Amino acid sequence: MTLAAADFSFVSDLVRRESSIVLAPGKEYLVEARLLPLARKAGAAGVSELVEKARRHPDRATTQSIVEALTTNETSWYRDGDPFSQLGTTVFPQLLAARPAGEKLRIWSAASSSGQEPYTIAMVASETIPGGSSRVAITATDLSTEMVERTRAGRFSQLEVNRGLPAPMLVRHFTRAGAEWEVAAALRAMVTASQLNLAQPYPRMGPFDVVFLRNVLIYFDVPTKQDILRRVRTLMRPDGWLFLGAAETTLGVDAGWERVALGRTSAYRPIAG
Amino acid sequence: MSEHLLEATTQDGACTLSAAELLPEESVRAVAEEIWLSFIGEEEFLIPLDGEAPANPFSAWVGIDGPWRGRVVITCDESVAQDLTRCLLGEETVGELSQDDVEDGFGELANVVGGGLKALLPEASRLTLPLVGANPPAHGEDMFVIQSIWRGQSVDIVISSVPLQY
Amino acid sequence: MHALVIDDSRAMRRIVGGILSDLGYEVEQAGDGQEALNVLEAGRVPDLACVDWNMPVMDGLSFVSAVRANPAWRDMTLMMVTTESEHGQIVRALAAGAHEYLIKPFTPDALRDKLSLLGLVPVEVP
Repeated sequence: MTLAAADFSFVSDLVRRESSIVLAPGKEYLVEARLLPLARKAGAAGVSELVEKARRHPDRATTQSIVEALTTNETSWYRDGDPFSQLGTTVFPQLLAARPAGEKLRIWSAASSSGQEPYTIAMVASETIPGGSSRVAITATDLSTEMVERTRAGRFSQLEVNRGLPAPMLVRHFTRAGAEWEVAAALRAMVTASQLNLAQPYPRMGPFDVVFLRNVLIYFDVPTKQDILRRVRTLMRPDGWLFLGAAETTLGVDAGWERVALGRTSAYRPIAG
Repeated sequence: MSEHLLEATTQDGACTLSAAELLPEESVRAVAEEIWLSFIGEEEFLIPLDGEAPANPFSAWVGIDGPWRGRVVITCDESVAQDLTRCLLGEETVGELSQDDVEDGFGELANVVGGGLKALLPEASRLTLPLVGANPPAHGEDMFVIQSIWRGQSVDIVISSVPLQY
Repeated sequence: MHALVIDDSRAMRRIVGGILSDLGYEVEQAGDGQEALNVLEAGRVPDLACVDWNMPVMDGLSFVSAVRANPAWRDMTLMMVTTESEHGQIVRALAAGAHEYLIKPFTPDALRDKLSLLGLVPVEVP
């Protein structure tokens, strides 16, 4: 099951070039596990054969599917819990108090994967804000076009709804659709999904009141991280909030943020000027 | 879907749709694949190919009881049922398996498959407790077989309508 | 923490029990709802019960209702762990008093996610 060094370096170069994501040596097992289903789908005997095919005939579809398989994560609903409870108890009330009645809050889920994060935000809004579905607009972006399609469809497998989605939320906001579960239309209407590479120039969007940039910076090298954080800052309202992954921080990367304790978690706010 | 079923029921409320119409192959495969990936192992795939008939066939089955009455039977070689049980229990921690262990583990697998399929039906139904053995009850006339290969061995899921039994 | 795993399948009791022991739970098992009630009546009331739905003698839904009818067992957290996966069945279980609902098949991570929703695993502090 071990991946040859040449295969690994080909794959990590490819992924780095296409997404700026760094696959450090030692991640061979990850490459193997993520690419095996892809190899089987492509009719290859194993990962090595798939890599060989991509190396000899580097067509767009194959290289893109390799990059996508290695840059998407299995995600939970309400991942890490606290950022989402703080969103409902602190962040939404403060922002709504500061905005004129009727103005929508804009939220960006910047690595939205298959949609668990934007729909969790939508559930929090609909559970905590009266008329929440008309007061919050969520922009969901992901590197992977496949993930963007999945977010738009709003359909999740049984295994996916089993991951951290509270049962009362499942019955309130989802219905069964064959072997899958479908998010309620009211939540889907809150979410607009599109493809975006965080390392490349951003389209005109925002300004955002809240940005979720969770568990994605870890994949980038330091200069790219700095660049992303700086550009995210320019897309935010001055009193906006940034949420990073539990193991991530702006400290030592980009000085333009103030870290604020929020319950048991923390968030970042842009420093004026 | 619900309306279809109503149209397809006779006056006494029995369903006249066939097993294959109620439970499309694609959905059955989706249910089974999820079960394999989560209970048997992250890298355990059910490959949609026909395999060789097992030398010592062994089956586990559950009944679904509602407007539609049917039975779901999983059949594979007895050694495959043992391997599946071993995986279900966590391969590295299992010592010798007793016949009881295999019947219990393989039966639970049928129970989970049956539960997943029952949820695809348009009307509320009940699941019977799983049974295990070399000789499952005869399949209904509309039986359809979903064949797969797991670790090179055949695993069949057979679904059919079964008449009321008195 | 003390957990009671109620399922008629020994394999399933072993799987659920194994994950809970790894998290530091003391695990007791019961093969059906009535056996589980006997454990409670003997005074061994767990913090958490993981309850299968379809079981001989007494099913999981009846067990949940019986637990909810007795104020002495009010502090117990009840989680259905079952292959029943229709929307309506989950609603029924929650209405009867189950706190959470885990659908079979599940991965160990999914069970741990549910426990953390219930505040029943130590929260990892970054």
